[in-house]
Amino acid sequence: MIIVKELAKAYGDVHAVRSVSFHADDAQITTLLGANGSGKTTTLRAISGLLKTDKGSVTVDGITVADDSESAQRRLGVFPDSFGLYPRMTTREHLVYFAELHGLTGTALNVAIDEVTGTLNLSDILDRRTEGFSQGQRMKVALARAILHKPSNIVLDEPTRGLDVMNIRLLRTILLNLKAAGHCVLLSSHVMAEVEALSDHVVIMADGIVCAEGSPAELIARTAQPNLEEAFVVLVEQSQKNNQKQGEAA
Amino acid sequence: MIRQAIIVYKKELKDMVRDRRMLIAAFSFALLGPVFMGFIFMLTTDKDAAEQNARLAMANMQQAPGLVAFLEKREITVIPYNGDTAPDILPEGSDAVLMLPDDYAASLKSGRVIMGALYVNESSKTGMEKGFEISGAVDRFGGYVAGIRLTARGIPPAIVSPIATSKFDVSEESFVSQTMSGSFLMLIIMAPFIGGLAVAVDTLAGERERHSMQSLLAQPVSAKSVIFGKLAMVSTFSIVGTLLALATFLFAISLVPAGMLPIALHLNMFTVSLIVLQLVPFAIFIATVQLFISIQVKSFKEGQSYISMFMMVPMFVAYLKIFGGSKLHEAAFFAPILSEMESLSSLIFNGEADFAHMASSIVVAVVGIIVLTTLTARKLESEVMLDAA
Repeated sequence: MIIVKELAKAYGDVHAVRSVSFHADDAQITTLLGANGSGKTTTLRAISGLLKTDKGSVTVDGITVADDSESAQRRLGVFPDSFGLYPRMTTREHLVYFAELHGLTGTALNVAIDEVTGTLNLSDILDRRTEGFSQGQRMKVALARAILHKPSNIVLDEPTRGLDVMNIRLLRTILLNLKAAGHCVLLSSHVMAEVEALSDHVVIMADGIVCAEGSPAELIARTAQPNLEEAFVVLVEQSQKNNQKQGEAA
Repeated sequence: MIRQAIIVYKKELKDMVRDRRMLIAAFSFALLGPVFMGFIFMLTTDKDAAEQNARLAMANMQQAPGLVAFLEKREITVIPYNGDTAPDILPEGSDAVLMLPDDYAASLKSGRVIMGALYVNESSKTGMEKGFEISGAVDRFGGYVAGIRLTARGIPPAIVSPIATSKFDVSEESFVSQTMSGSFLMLIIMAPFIGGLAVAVDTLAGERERHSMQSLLAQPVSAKSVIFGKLAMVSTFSIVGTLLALATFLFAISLVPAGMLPIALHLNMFTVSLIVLQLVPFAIFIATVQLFISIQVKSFKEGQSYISMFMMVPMFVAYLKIFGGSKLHEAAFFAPILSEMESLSSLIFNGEADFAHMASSIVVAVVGIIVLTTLTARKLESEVMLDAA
């Protein structure tokens, strides 16, 4: 379970995240939904222990990331916004490297690799160097690397970006299976269809704040719109108007 | 932390060894540089000439039987010089040409000053030594004739030679050998710079450019473990490159006949052990500097530019030692690289340990490794590492 409280992060004068609070429960898929620059990636990086926040806190299974990032990272599987593979290494070598960094050795390591190979159907690319892999193959390696050590929480930053329909469907199935296995799945996206199809809980972000959150059905009902896309637009516009009013009042 | 550093090291080493360009970049200098240097050394030797007597070509030789006999008694072979004018180059098989005037015999008989000219070639060590030998022998003949003349007049020859001196060369080395030894030291000093260059850039700037840094930093591994692992990998390339350069050079030099080198090497197990003891921390220090530069940049290309500029440092320092070493203050030789060169020079060319400069270079290396590794690890913890070029 991931809990984010009043998270704020600025890069110089740019406030990437102003105040973000939400929680992502186990056995649920939680999605950060927002336009480019809304603060999704910064929030996910703070959860992954990759950056220090200016304000607020992040806890992963009760561990405060700022206090003990390595313990928190042991409970996380991170799928970053770019796959970041080593082109001269094989898929198996990627998996061994990251598994060892998580402390897996010997039989446990081999079993973990066999399991993830079966889950993601990696056998045909297991002993091939990743140089020249298709986007789908690269996604599989990056995802395998993230879930290999069976983390209770999986964080994915725009995982479907650049993927074709077949690979999106495959990814969707894998995420649903992870949810069914009791994992906390937190992802970011701006693809409405994907969010609507996958998410149990949606956190809508704009300009570094949370505009609204709830299930897709709740958000649609709350705005009396026909679908999530329209609901998203209404909620973001409302948030921006409120911000403007608050700014003028201040 | 050590376990994780070893995991990072093993992965990095495997990754780099697979890149043929990295291997060529790291080891081509170590293999080819010393061979080239050995070839240059061979060019400065002249085995046949060194083993033979000095050969003097003499113009108007028939007029100087006494001089010829005097020289031949001193194992200098005298042959006639057939040219009419002074030589531009020495004739084949000659170490010097002595131009005696046409009236040599008459002038000698009448006691007039004989204006002769000796032409030598001092461009090689052998040529210099043989020219020196012939010149000395001709001068001694002059003294011998003067002594006979004075004795014939009842004057002891010693009266015109109140002081008798013998000449000894106490200069540390000739310019040729100074340049050669300096070039050799430069080659050894440059080896760790070249050995670690490409891998140092790839392991940090390259990883950042490929976006794999973010994935790595999201794992439960400390920045220090990552840096130690990467430093160990770059150091491996630096150390292997340096020791390979040293070994290749010694092999190349072993092909040159003993005693024919313009410089003398004093290598034994003791000196070689001290050379390795000194070069290992130096190579690790250079690897640390390269990693420190590499972490400041966002892309491989940018890193390559800066680290290539850094490569000029040992070259400048080596030339400073070769051409301006005698003008530098003693304290300057305790500076990084110069202290390294001083200590190595003493070990390799004198067979003696210069513990002051050796200690200075090792202390500078160890302090540099600690400071720069700490700074590099701190930089890796910074969130700017998440952004690539």
